[in-house]
Amino acid sequence: MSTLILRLEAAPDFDVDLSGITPDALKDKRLPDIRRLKLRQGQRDMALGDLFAIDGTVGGDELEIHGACTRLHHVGAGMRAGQLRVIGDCGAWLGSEMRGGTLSVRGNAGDGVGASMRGGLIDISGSVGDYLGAPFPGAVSGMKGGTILVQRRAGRRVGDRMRRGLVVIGGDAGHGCGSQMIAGSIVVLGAVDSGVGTGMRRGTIALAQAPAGLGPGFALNGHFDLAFTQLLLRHVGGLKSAWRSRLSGIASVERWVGDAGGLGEILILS
Amino acid sequence: MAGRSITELRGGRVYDPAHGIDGVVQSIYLCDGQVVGAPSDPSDIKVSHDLSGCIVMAGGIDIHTHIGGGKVNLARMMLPEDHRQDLVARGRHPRMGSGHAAPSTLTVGYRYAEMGYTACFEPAMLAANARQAHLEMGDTPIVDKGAYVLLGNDDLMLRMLAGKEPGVKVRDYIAWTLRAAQAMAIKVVNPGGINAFKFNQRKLDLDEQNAYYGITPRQVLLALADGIRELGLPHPLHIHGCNLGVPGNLDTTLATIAALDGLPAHLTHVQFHSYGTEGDRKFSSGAAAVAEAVNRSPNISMDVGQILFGQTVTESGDSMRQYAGSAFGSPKKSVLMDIECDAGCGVVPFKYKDKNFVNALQWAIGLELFLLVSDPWRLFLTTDHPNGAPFTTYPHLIRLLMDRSFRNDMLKTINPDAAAASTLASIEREYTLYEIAIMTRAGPARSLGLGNLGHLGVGARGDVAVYVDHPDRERMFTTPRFVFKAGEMIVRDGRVIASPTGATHVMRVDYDTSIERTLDAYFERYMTVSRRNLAVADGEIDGDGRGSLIAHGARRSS
Repeated sequence: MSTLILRLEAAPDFDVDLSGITPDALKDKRLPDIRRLKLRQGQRDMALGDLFAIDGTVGGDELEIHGACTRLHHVGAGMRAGQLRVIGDCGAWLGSEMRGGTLSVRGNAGDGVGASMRGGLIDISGSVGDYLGAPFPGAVSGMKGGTILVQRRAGRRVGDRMRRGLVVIGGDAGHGCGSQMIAGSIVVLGAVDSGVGTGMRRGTIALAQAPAGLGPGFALNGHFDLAFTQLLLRHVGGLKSAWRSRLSGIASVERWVGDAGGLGEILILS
Repeated sequence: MAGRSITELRGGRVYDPAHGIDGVVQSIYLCDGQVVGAPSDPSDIKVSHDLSGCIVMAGGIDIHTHIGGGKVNLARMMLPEDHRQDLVARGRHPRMGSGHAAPSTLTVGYRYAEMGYTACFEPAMLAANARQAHLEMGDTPIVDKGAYVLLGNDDLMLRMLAGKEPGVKVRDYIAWTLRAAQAMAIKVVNPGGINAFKFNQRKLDLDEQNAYYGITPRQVLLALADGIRELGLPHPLHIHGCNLGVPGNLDTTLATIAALDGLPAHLTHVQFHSYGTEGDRKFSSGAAAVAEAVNRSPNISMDVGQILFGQTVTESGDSMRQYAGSAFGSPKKSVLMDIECDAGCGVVPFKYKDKNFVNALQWAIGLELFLLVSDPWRLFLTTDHPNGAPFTTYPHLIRLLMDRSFRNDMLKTINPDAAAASTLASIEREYTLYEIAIMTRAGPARSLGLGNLGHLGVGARGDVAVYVDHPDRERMFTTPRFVFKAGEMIVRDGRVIASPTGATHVMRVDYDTSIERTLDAYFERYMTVSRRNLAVADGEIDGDGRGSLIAHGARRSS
C-alpha cells in the first residue's frame, strides 16, 4: 500500500485553505518538500507540516487525511487523479473544480461541495451544506461533469446551474433543488423541500418522494415507463447497495416538464 | 546648514532626460524629500549607497492606467477568479492583497512601487463617480495619483454645444468640472458616441450626428480641445477616439488628427485605433500611417495601449464599443452601465491569444507604433492597464522595445499569418535607456505639468528608481535595487519595505462662478444629487491624515 497520510494534530481555531493538497499534486514530491508546501491561512501563509503530521509512503496515488474538521476548506480542490480519503468532517468547497479521481469523505462536508467540478467522483457518507455542484464564485456554470454521491441530507440549491454530470442524494434535499439547472441529472431518494427545479432550462430531476408542490412553470406530462429511467435507476442502484433495494420495483414515472422554455423535467418515481 | 541629513546615491549611471543627462556617472543627493546639490560639508552625508553598476532614473510615471473608480471595482466584483488565482499573503508586504488584471488597491500601489514607479494617473473618472475614484486611489499606497475627468458625453455639455452656447461658458463648465471632480486633466471617450448609444445608435463616426442632439464627434472634440487650450491646462485633451477596435478605424484616427488642425491633443491607446481593412481577413496594420501623421503633427502626443498575451479584463467608459465587444468576452460575462448619464462604463474580460490572428496582429501593431513614432517626448509607454495587459508586464514590454533579437524571437512564436502581415521584423530600431526614461518619466511629467516630478535636478522630489544594469532589460526593470519616494527608501531588492501615502495631484484653474447658476438649474431638473453634493471637497482627500493634495495651475499663470 503506498498511501500518504496527513494526520491533523489539533483542530485549528482558524480557517485553512487546502487547495492543491491532492494525490496527483503530491505524487512526485519528497516528504520534506511536502511538509514545506504552503497553505493559505487567513491573510498569511503556513506550511502543511505545521498543521499535519505526515507519514506513509510517497509516490503513490492515494492520500488520506485523518481527523479532518470543518475549518479545512477546499479539500481536494482541483484534484485530477488518484484517491483521496478523508476521515472526519470538512469545510466548504470540498472537491471544487475537481477534474478526476475519487474523493471520499467519512463524515460531513460544508457548502459548495463539487462546485464547478468537471470530472471524477465525490462520495460523502454524511450530509452536506448548500450549493452542492453549484458554480464556483465567478464561474458561469455549475458542475460540468463527474458524479457526486451524498448518503444523507443535502442543503439548499443542490446542482444550481449545473451543466452536466450526476448528483445522487440518499436523504432529503433542501429548498431549490436543481435551481437554474442547465443540464445534467439529480436523483433525490429522500424528501425534497419547495422550489424544485426553479428556473431550470434542461436537465432531469428524479425524486423518489413526491414533492409537496411544484412551481407554476411545471405541467404534468403523463405517466411513462421510460427506458432512460430504468437505465438511470439501474446505474444509481449499482452505486450503493442500500440504494438498490430502495429503487427496485419502480415501474413507471410521473413526468412533469417546465420552467423557462419547458425543457426541464422532473420525474416522480412511483 | 548644520545637522543636515543627506542620503548619497553614489556613482550610478544617471538617465535624466529633462536635463539632457544620458548615462552620466554621477551622484544624486537626497535631503528632506528632495534632490539637492552636492553638499559642501561631506559630514552632512549620513547615509551613502554605492550604486556602481546601477542605472538611476527618476521614479516612473504612468500616464494612463485604470486603477480607481467604478469600472475597476466592477471588474473586481465580476472576476473573483482573478483575485483567487493571484493572492499576495501578508508578510511579503505590509498588508495582503489579490488580483492580476484588476488588483486590489493596496496591491496596485505595492506592485507599481516594486517596478520603480512612483506616480499613476487614472484616465477615466466620471464626475458623478469622482468620490468613489478618490476613495480608491486614497487607498492605493506609495504612488502619487491623479485622475482625468470625462466630459463630452454628458447631456449638459452636448446641450450647451447644441444650443451654441458661447465658448467661454463651455470653458467655465470645464473648469468647474475639473474642480468639482478634483481632476488633473480632461478626457473624452468616444466623443458624443456614448451618449448616442443611449439613443440606440450603435456606431458614431467623426462626422456622424448624434440622433438627439445633432452634434458630431468632431464638434465635441474641437469644443473641448479649444476650451482646454484657452484655459491653459498643461495636459491637452486626452482623447479616446471614435470607433475603438473597429477594422478600418485608421481613417477615423487620421481624420481626428487632421480635424484638430494644430490644437494640442493627446491620443490615447492608439494601438486600438490603428486598424486597416486590407488582406483576406479585412484586418491589417495602420501603424505606419498613424505614426507618420503623429510624426508630422507636433501638437499631438500619444500613448500606445500595447497588448500582451494572456488573461486580462477590458474596462472602458466606451459603452458603445464595450457592448459590441461583450460577445467576445472570455470568460463570457460582462457589465455595461451608466451613472447619472455622465458617460458610460463597460467591463468585459478578455484573453489575448498569441495564436489568434487578430490578437497577434494587435500585438505587432502596438510595437510598430512604438518603433515608428520618432519622438519619445510625445509617446508614452502604456498598456492601457488592464485593457491591453496588466501594468506588471511593463518590464517585458521594455525588453521588446530595447532588444530586437528578443522581439524577433517573440515574433516567430505568434500567429504566422499575423507575423507575415506585419512589418515588425524589418524594423531595426532599438530603444535606448535614455528614450525609455523619456517615455516613462520625463515625457509624462512634462505633458502633465508635474513640475518637480519625472526628473532628478536640484529641487525635484526625491522619487528615484535604481536598477542593477543587466542585459536582460525585463529582469532589470522587474526588480529595482532601490526605490526612493520623497527621499525615503520604499523598495529594496524589488520588495516593498515602507508604505507611505502618495499625494493626489489636481489642476486648479479660475472660472466665472456664474456658471454655477446654469449648473444648479440643470442639477435641480435632471440629476439625483445637487451640484454641491457632487463636488468632492479637499477634506475628503486630505482630511484623513494620510492623503495630501498638490494643486497645479494653468501654464499661463504659472
